[in-house]
Amino acid sequence: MGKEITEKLVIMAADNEQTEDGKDLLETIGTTPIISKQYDPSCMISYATGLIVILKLMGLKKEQQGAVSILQHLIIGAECVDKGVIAEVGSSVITPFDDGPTLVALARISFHMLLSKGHPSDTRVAFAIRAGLIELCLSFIQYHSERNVPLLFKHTENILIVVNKVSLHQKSAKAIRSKRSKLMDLLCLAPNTNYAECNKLLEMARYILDTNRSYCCRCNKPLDKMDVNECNGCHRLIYCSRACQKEDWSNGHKLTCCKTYTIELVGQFQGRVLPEEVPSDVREAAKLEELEMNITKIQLKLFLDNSETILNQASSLNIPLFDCVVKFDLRECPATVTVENFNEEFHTLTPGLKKSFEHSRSKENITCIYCSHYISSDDGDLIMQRLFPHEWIITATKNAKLEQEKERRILMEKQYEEKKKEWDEKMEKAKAEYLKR
Amino acid sequence: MLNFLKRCEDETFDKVISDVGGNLKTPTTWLKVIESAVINDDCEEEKIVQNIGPLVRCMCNDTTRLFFKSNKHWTEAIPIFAELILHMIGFCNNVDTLFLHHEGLLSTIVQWGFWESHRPDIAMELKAEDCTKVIHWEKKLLKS
Repeated sequence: MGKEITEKLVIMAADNEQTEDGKDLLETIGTTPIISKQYDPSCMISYATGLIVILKLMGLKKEQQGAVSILQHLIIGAECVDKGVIAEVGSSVITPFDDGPTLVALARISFHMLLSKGHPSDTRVAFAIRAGLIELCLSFIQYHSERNVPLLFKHTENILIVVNKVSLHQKSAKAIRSKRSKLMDLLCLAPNTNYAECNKLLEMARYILDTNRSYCCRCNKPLDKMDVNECNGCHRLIYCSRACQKEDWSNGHKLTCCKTYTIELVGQFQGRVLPEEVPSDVREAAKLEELEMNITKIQLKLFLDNSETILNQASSLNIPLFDCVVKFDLRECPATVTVENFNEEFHTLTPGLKKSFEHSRSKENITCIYCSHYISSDDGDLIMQRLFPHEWIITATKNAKLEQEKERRILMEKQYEEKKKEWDEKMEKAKAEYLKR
Repeated sequence: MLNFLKRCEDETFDKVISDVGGNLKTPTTWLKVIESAVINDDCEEEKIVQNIGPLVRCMCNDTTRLFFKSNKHWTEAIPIFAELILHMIGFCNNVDTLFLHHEGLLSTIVQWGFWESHRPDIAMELKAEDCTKVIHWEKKLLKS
């Protein structure tokens, strides 16, 4: 009996959703515990969670659309999202017999429950991933490949975009790593479809899992949790072996290890964060630090994976490679790469950044900027950029130059030999004619 | 009728009925009369909304479950009280005021839907016919 009345109330409140009163009423209904406090003070199941549990028990059928619409009002309209809602939605199991529009609504709910005040929330995404959100997305993809539901594709894409935005953040990165092997198995089992859309979503899921793997900061070898050798000084860089660690140490890490970024250290410091000031709040600073560390673990892989694009774009700009800045936008899924001319695009930057660039340039390093989301509790959604000089390019370019030089010499020697031979033959001919005379 | 119902918190039904006079054995009939007043008479609606406080407080307390100091009266009255609220939502122009002024009413309404699964103690006490009604309403809602 209560459900009928509650449904009426939700619909009435939803009509006034734009007003404070309507929103308050929706919020109160959605967050009310389903058992009275006097009976069980520890009950944490909210009305929204209880409704999802009932929905799941009854199956995601067409008849349930009324209940699904109430859920949409509560979760999307009034943000009645708690751990229970995320856990129950994330652990939903989809069958081929489920109703398409109901699934679209569920996907829409799944997307909105990941947002807090309109921004992707690391905590929510991490919790949802642990509950089974990526598996749910794979089920949506599977359903879409069989039934072709465009709206389901759109919402699933939105979910993956939100997950990607915070996938390198503290909690989400850990959650993805903890489920990585299981999800990779599921992705391997995912059938090939003729729908380009489905393949695109599967690629997005693969990319998210790939970027959340640890790679050796020296040789880019993928590392399992047990194989990681962390730098004991800064705990920021990881290596596959002692040899790689030693090589990196002597190659410049000894200058930066354990040092905090200061303007004086620009250039020596491998990487820096924008906005320049690290947040004063300890928790915020730790969040930023973790994000930066996670970017460190994948930056070499990103660079190597996109090296061909980078070289092509640089050659089309027709400027020396070391005048370029490679910009990776990690907010995109997969990350986009743009090569830009530092002097044209970044001339307005702070002196510190310019100094950093000049330092990289003087050492024939290529400068990279990694743009990522940084969600601050004070300022909301900010862009975090990390500047990093990639030294590997020196070796690669130097080796390439040496190879070119070697080839040139061989060619010259060859030409010289041929000319000498020709000259010798001519001489022989002339000598023979002279003797004949 | 509302004046008598106002005494439901502190007095027993026998004492109240002795003051009123009549042969009623249960206060549910009064609730039914109020329900029909809500349906048929717009003028009464305002009065009922304003004076229903003690009744709401009694019916919302599902742990002590006392209505006219009797658990039995409370159990009998619950389905009619639910119907009364349902009608009030349908007919009342001032629903927000009604629900915001009566503390605990909104939570109780939300919790009614989960009694069958989470409050076996109440579900057991409710009459078999009322339980069937609850299940019927749940199914109706899900179909809608």
